[in-house]
Amino acid sequence: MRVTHKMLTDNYLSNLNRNLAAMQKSQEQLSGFSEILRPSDDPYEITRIMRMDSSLKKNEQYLSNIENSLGWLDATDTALQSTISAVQRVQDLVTQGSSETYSEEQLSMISDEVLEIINEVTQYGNTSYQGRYIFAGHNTIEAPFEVDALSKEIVYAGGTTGDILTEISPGVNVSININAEDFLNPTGSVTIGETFQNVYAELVAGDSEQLATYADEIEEQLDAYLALASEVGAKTNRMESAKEKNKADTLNMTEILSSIQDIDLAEKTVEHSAMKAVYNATLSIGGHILQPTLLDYLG
Amino acid sequence: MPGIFSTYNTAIKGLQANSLATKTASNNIANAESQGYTRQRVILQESMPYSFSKFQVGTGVDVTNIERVRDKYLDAQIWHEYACYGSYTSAQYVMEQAEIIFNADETGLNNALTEMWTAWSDLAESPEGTNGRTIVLQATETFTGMLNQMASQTQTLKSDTTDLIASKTKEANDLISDIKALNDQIYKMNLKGLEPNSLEDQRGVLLDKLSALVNINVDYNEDSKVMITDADTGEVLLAHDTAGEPDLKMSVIGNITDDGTDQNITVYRDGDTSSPVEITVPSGTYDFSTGDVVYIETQEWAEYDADNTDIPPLTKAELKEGELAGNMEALAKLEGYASQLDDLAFAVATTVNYILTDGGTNGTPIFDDTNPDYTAANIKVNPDVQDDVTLIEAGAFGGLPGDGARALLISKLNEISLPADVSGTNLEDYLDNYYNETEFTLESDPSGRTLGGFYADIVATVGSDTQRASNGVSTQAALVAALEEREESISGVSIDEETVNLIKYSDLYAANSKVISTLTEMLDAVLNMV
Repeated sequence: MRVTHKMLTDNYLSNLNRNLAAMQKSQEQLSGFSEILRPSDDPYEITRIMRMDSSLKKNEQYLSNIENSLGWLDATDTALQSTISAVQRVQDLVTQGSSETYSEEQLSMISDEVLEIINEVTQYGNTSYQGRYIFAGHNTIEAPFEVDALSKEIVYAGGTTGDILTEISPGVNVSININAEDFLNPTGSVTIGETFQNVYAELVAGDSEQLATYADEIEEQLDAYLALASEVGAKTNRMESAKEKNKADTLNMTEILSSIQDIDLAEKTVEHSAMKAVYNATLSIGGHILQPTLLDYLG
Repeated sequence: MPGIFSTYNTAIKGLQANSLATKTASNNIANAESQGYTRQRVILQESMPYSFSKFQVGTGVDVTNIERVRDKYLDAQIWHEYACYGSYTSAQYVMEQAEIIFNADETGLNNALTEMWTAWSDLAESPEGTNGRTIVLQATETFTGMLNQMASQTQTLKSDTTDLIASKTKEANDLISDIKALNDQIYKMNLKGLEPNSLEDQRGVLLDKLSALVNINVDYNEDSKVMITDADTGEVLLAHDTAGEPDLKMSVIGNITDDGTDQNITVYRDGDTSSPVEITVPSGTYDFSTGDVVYIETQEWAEYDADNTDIPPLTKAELKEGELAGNMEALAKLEGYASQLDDLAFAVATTVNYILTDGGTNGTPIFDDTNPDYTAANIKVNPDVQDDVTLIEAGAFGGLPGDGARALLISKLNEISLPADVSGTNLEDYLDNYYNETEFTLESDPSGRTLGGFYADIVATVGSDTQRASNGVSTQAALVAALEEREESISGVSIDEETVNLIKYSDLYAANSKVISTLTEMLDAVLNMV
């Protein structure tokens, strides 16, 4: 084959260009700190990256939902624990009042305390978390309970049923609330309002014999509230483990994402230096191959 | 008997031939880097001898030809590869711009979509009041704004590509006219018995350029005129004996609309966008799209010019290789991406509106449903909702403020698979069947894809199309380079070789001069005898 000088220069130039193009690519990856800078770099992986990005964003949202729910459940638990103490106190008072040694005057004093407790429990029922009444079902903007001014019974004000749902992982909805009915009527037969009202009425009437008949009912109410509290505890546990799983998922996905798109800095840097060396060599060789012709040797 | 004087002739012929050869070598050296230059070679042949007694006596040397050293078979091969290379580079040029529009960046559509679902999730978490609704509205506005922008960018890229096709078509037509002019000049020089080497080089350069635009077959006749055929369609672009304008020219379809009775077509005549020709034909006559290259006979144009009534028949050029074909292919791909993007816009707007309104029976849609054929270009937020965000219903109709079940379902559209084909009533049918308006559930279509998947598919398609074009460019570039090297090896100027020729021929010139001085001595000797 005939070889001309133009072939040499053309070849040289195209090789130089190729080296430069490879350098540009690696420099882009180094400065962008990513293997895949545009869809055509890897059309398959780019869709994985996109899915992973969306899943990560979604996961962040789940985490915020879970944390929000934990706060809600915490508030619920506090309210229930306080209610349980209140019921226990009423139980104690009923036991005391049932003994025949108490005078009417003393019973009347106890009745004042029970009235106080009735108001307290109503307060617990009207607990709000971040401006939302937690026992109100769907009607979260109105206080669910009030004390009837005459009968002193705790009655529904705005409270309703309705599940407050939250999504804690893809497709998993969890109801995080105890609705108004469950709070006021945990036994399903008599509301705590009625029980308290009856106890109060007997105390006011000074009838310790009648008072004693409510001991069992209060015991049932107490058990029902304890059950309710343990339900909330179970939900809290579930949320805690969902939170752990969420964090583990995020970590996993971040790792996978990083393995797909991040560059191995050490490897890339070495690769880049090698390219630089090749490019420099190409440049210096250019001077040697392009100069000589026969003309150089003619006197 | 051969005399001294006839030997003078032999020597002079030698001088002339070697001086011509020296000149040719110098010309080669001078043009070593000229574009399209083909090295030339002097073909020397011994002159006709005459008979003397029983001998044949030589009479010197003749220059029979100054030959262009060219391999026509290789030319044809290179022209074809230029066409392939052209289709990849021109496709790549457009695709790389499309890739910027349909990106997977952190600020891209994928993110806007995810942000929108997140906003609905936030609303589901606290459905009371306007706070969550305002966030939903803003996220939805960002999403529609981004779709609108992408649609308009795609449209701009499409019209830029159409203009590019038109200007390349014009270039191809001009090149063919120039080649035709060179054909004529070469023919005339041949008639005069002259060697039109430099004109042939010029014609070669023009053919190189033309072959990058259109895949051409070139045929030479005995007059050294070329006939150019479109290799993909077999249409003759330039005949050997074309006298005036070529019989056929390429034009470009600018815009085409069909209103059911008439088809209105804008034709960029000969690729000229400055004075488009509007023609009207009966509805459904042609199946063209914007940017298509069509063949129109010159004669038909002439008849149309005479009275503006006889509309010339248009024949679509089914080009497969070359820059024009590459741009046309890229344009078709852009069309595809745009329609996929429209599908996404349609699927999002239809589904979200359906859930928000229980299939149009109640409530207020968040996407303006004045025209329910949502596209990426026309999708926008319902102005009523912009005025009053409380119109967004987060729970059941007539429900209580803490109910966020509807918003929760919308936030989950990220994971729910919708029918892959949303055309016609497919999507509505699916929603009618799978949406439960009391439980707020929407079952996934088992053979469907998620809305995020819709966009991921577009990005993957754009990515692999771009990758294919770029890979094509690099492979084809290597092939073209190899062929160009072979061509250079045959037709290129080697300085070393020409220097050797220069030395050789100038030595021969000196030798011939020596012959003359020897002859003079001989003649002196004879004269001195007297």
